[in-house]
Amino acid sequence: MRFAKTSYVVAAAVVGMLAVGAQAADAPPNPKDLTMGKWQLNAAKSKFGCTEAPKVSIRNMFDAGFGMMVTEWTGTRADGKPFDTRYVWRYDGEKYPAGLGPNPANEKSESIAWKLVDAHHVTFIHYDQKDKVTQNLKRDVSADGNVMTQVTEYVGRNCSDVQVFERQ
Amino acid sequence: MRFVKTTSVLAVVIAGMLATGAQAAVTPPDTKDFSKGDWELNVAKSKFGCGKAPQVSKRHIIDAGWGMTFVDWTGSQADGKPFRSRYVFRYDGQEYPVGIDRPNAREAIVYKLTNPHRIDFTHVDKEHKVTSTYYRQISDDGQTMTQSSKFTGRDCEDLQVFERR
Repeated sequence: MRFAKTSYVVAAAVVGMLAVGAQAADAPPNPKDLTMGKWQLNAAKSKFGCTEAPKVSIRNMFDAGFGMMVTEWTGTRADGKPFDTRYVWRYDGEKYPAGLGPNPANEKSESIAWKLVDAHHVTFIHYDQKDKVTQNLKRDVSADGNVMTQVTEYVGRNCSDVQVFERQ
Repeated sequence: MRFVKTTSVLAVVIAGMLATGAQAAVTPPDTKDFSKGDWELNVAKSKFGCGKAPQVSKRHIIDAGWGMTFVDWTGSQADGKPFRSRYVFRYDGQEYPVGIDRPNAREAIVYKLTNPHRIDFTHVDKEHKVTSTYYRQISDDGQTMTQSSKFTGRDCEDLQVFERR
């Protein structure tokens, strides 16, 4: 009898933990743009057909106010080197620098133009300094808001990177 | 005779050091906008009529490309606490949040490049009401930047003098 009671308690605890686990992801901060929030790359679920998979990739995306979006992108590259970059944009069709790090305005730096297709979908295009398109990207957020898939297609290359992020 | 020679050599060295000091001025990185570059507040030359003077205030102002200016503002406040604030803007008349370090800024700023030596900018709240007005004036030699801050409804002014680094 004691065993049965203990089993019930353990089962209830497990169910409770699972329930808490299922709710561990933060609620999306912006229902009008579900890409906002904190995301971490799930490398096992991702496919890097063009580039090397980073060891860690975390994006903290938020609305800084007045329509300005910010991404803090941190992590560890394939070679183990850490990176920390930040970029901003508005969904206004204009081009924004792809990074705000030290001396970003060099000949290799690119710009990005962003479009909020709907609450679950964002598309964006990378341009070089001659305004030629170098990459086409999209971010799709799942119906429950907890998984974001980013697809990157590089112009002139027959490959794509598919990155799967989970909301933190 | 040896004393005279030594003295002459020393004099040349000192003159050279002084000359080097005189040439320590940093070349402004952008002659179309002299506010770009690295600046450090000279507290002794500044006058804080509205707020408390920070202990240290540095601004790293760069052209991030595509017309976007990026400012990395660091230092320590009057009470010694360190601070860091980053913000971006274009000279396009649009409102840009006062910071990009956290969500939902309470105020925005509208910037105008009046001429290569002067920037005028205005803080507005979420209802687009002006809360403070500013200018940054850079000296003819590009080595000193004076920022004036006036706050709506207050009869005071902060005048901050920055030196190029």
